[in-house]
Amino acid sequence: MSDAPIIVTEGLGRDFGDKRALDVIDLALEAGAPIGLVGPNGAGKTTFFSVLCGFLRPTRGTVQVLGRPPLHRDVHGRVAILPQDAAFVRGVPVQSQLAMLAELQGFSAKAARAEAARVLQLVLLADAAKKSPEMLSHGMLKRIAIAQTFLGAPELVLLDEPTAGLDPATASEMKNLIRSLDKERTFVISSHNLQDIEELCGSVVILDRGKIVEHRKVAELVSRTSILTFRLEADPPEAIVAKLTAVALVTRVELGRPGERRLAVHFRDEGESGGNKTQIAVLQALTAAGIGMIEMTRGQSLQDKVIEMTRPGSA
Amino acid sequence: MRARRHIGVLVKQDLRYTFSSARGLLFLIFFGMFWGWVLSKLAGGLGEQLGTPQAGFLVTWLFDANVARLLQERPVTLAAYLVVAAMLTPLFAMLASCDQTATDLGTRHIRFLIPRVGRAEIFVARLIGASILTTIAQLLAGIAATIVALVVNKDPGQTGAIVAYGAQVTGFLIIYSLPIVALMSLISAAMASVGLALLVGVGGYAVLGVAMGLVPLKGAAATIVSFLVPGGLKPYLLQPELGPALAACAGALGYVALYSFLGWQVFRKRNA
Repeated sequence: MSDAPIIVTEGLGRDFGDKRALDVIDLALEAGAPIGLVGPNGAGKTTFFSVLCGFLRPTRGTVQVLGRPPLHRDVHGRVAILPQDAAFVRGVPVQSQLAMLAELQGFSAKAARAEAARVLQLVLLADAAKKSPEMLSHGMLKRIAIAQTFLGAPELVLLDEPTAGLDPATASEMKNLIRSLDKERTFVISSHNLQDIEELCGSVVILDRGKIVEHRKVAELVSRTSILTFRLEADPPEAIVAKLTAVALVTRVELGRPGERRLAVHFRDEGESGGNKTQIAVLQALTAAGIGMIEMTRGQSLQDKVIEMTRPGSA
Repeated sequence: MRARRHIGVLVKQDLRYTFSSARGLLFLIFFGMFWGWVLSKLAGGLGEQLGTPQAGFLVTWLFDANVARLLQERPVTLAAYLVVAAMLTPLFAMLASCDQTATDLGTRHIRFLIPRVGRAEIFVARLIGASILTTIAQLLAGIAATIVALVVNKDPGQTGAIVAYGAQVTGFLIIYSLPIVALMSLISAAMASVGLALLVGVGGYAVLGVAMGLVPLKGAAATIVSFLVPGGLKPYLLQPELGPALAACAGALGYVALYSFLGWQVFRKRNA
């Protein structure tokens, strides 16, 4: 894969009436490790994908995918997308539909049938080849929709919520599939499941209210050593902030929003033993304050980071 | 070259879907049953009766003198078939072609296509697919009508003339149905729903027909309104002379160009 940007947007925006779904997006994404696209509902993720694929025209700004505008004929077959809500044709076996899509990508009729069978095998649905869409479950249809993104050799694959609606075992299989293919093509994955993004992606773009909040490597976003994150039985009292700040090396205490039952304690990183001592002291302070804890994480997950960055008023 | 291949693949899929879907089969069954019934009536002697001078008076009152002349001067079974078919072609063509890009847009199936083919290719392929379906239906009905006309014909010397006129009538009706298919390309792209496209197409056509009957327009206004839809060509098609019918066919192709262009303008700007 080349180092040239696969997606470049300049001043990109898309409005729906008075609502700005995408405000001003300036972005350059390079080929390579999978890229996550995250953000709360209404952040503009699906709109962004739709503009990249030419489903929607931008209201302002420009977008280039693989060096061309999205609908350019040179891009056909080189970009694949898992759309969130597109349906297959009723009454036609899924293998026939996949073969038709493969034919549109330049396969001969015979090769297209073989290609359709191959991608069905990839998503573990070879048995469903002769079935029409109305005979398949939602999860199976999702997998068929994923399968069509692997037809041929697209250089860029956009996956909008690839694991939503899948049972945990199947979701795990799909993630393994993405991992096994991410050396051959660049994935851009939009998902609310931030654990999936953290597991799969090398970098992440955080969108909020149509704007890019952050675009960085996942490793840079997720601090592993200097934060303790707690999931509590109840929202912690304000008074705990002062008690925890008094603990040695603690620099900042952050309470979650009401109802989140969350607490993050930031401390100065002075090596493993210092971290362990701080951890013990914080746990003792919580116990002394009678605060029940469900889970403690050393470090901060991507989910915590995204919640923090997209919290109203955080911009 | 690539565009032609893409269109071929999409047309093949379109026809396969039509002939395997309940909606496509229902259209063909309805179309076949209707013409089976009409042709059985014509075979039973109704055609011959329509060609008599007595029936000519009624036909002139119902239609116009040209239609009465058509029934008397041309093989009457086929002429009667042409009259009935010309009246019902818009309805049948709408039924056959109401789903061109409507399902693609309504179910967002188009999102699987757009990363692989151009919008123009999708639009053209759907238009061609619907045109092929209506052409096949008109061709089968025309062949059946010609066979009926040959069966009821009692003059062996007329066989060649009946076959030639059967081919002519079938050709006219195929061409006459194409503007309706093109009109439905515009409506289906605008509505993005098969049911709504059919309702708007049939409803709009019916409302225009009723309005033209109720509002006594005269002069240029009457001419302009009558030519808003291809139905304005019908009087030219239903004449015994070849010239006006050929002019009507040329006019029909003009409508095809206009409606297809408008349909494309709507489709290319639609969100997928």
